[in-house]
Amino acid sequence: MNTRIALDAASEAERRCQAVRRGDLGPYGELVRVNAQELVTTMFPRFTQYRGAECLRQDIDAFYKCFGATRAEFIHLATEFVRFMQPRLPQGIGRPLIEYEWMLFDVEVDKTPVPPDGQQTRRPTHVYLNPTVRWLATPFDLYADDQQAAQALLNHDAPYAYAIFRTFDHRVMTQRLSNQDIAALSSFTDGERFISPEESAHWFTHALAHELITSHHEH
Amino acid sequence: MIIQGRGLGLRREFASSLANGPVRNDFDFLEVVPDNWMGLGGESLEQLDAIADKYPLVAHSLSLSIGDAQPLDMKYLGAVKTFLDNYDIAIYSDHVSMSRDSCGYLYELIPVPRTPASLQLMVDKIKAVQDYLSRRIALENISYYYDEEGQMAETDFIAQLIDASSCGLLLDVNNAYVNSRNHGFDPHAFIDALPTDAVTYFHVAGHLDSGPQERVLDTHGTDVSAAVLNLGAYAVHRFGEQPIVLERDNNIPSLDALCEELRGIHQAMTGSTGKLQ
Repeated sequence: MNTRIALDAASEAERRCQAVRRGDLGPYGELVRVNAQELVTTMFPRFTQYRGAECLRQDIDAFYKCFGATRAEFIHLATEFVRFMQPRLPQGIGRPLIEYEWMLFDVEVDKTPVPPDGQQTRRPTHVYLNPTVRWLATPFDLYADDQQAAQALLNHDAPYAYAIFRTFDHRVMTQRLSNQDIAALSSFTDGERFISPEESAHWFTHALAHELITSHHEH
Repeated sequence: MIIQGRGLGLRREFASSLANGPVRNDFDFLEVVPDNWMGLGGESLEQLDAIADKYPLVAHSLSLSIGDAQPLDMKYLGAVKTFLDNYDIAIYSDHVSMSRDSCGYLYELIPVPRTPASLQLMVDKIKAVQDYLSRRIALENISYYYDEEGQMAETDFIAQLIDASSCGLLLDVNNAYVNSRNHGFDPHAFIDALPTDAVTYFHVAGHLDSGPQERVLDTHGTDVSAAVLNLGAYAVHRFGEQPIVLERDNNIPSLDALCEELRGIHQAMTGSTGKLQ
């Protein structure tokens, strides 16, 4: 293509898109912001509630003015928004909240198939971590309200640990991990573990019932 | 696979019903938006796999951004190709629009500058996409709410685009109607000015009409209006009977109600010819 033509087309297209980023080009500047706010509100309800409508509106405006989203699909606007917000959120509960809610989405759409549930009548001998599991540590209890969460931050509470995973029938689970859970999970190597006849299978049976681990493995 | 007859835009609201229910015969195929499904696992993947086993699919994407001045997004295009190949989809379309600048994606169908330079750039990109996908693609006329003086007429732009790139036209009858109301032109003249052999298939949808002083909005949130059906019948008269897809994205009624509406749309558009009053 003629270089002159390419430059003309580029500058004209760029001018229109830059106008959208500024909030102009007829209704388009507003349209993109309304659509983004709707998606973010739907996908991150607790973060949205914590952040407040006006702050969120400013965040989305800044997202369009300052950020280069690289994922094409509209659903991934949510992912791009998290990337934009992460370094900008002050110390507090906002960042853990949005990261947690994004993780729920990420687990829901994880392409890895989850084997059928691990319930079985016999004692398990070989178990695997749920292939969709993500680990999360937060400075407050995710099940606490915002006020309690803020207090936990002030008190410098010990971190709370969670496993987030998808079950065979597509439910996304958030399981708070106890010290015993963490100790048991740390004994897995590359996501799997043998259970010797001598050791108690109690924890493994419990974890199998919740589908945090499975006794069936599909390669 | 030959696609013909009545098509329905696949939406999550009734994906489970289609995936798990018996095969329905009140539509002939489904139009799937790759952007909403590709790369996703879990329930989405399971449902789409089940649906694809039962119904023929066509694909209609949102993010090709063929009208921008950036290099093609080969990561996105590669994902689309994999999707089309995996589900054996022959008919693929996107929009005469752009959604990206040198900074990144904007997540909206923005009207392209209708200039000779933009036209040439788009033709080159369409050819590259068609080569890469090994398919003739179709592009949809969008509804637009911003226009500038001194540009090429939309029909001239689309006609030259089709002629130079050999792509097809996904004629969105509702968009033609909405634009005619918002920009003050005769929608029948718009139809008349498009090449007769261009249309791959038709889109119809509902819009929000709040009166003559207000902008008509392409909402996909209401039943298709009589005016759009009349224009659709006129389009069928000009372009011949091509597949018709009903799009519904907001205020989505039951699947039974949508299929009943689709039956009526098909009858109205193909059972009559000529300009209706």
